[in-house]
Amino acid sequence: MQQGGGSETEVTWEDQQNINKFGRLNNRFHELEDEIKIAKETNDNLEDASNELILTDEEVIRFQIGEVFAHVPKDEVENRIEQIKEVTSQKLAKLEEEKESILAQMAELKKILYAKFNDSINLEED
Amino acid sequence: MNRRRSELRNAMSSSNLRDLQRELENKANDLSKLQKEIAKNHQMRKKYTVQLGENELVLKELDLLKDDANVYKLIGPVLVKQDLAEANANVRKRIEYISAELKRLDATVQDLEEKQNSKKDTILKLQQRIQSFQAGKGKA
Repeated sequence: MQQGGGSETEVTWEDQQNINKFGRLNNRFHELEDEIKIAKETNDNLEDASNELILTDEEVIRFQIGEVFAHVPKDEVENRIEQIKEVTSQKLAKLEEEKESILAQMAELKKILYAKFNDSINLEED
Repeated sequence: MNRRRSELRNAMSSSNLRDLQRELENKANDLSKLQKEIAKNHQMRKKYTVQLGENELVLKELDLLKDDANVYKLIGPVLVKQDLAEANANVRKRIEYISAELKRLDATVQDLEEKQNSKKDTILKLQQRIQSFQAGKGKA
């Protein structure tokens, strides 16, 4: 907690719980931001792959399955990519939803804690 | 009367000391921010250096290939055939871009380190002033 110029305010058990909860939410928020970034990149890559498949003349495509590349017919690859895209998009939507919920909870906790501690507490990022 | 004067002097000197300490705290915070910025820049520089090495290695390999060689590019989970000349041009362009970024980062880091050194000097002088101030107060 950052010490401000205000007078000493007693920190109750409930305040401490709120501060701890804010910290946990903040950590999760940063984790989510990283996960969202990865999901978006994956989606972009899949989109690029779809576009490349449209342009290619080859009927058999080298498709990555785990660590290896298998020769898979073009139309099957297209289907698989669409499926993966769908799953990734759903995951991304869920992550975005969770992020919004966390931001709302953090805003609520900020309101409560700043109301009590004024400038004796700092809940802002560097 | 004399007591009043000495009380006034003490109050003024403690106020001055507080100001100096506040200034020192601000300067220390600035220095801390600068150091974080430098660390971030070093991290980025490291990342770009690794990428440059990888791309130069790829370019060497591409230069060994015959004109009719098959080159593939990984896009998502798909290996897509790519023209050798196009692959060559892409890698060269990437090397150019990374080299330019490294140059820019070097200049930024140098500038930040100069700022850091000047901040350190300022902090040192402030600390000396505070110490001499406290020593003077101790004697009084």
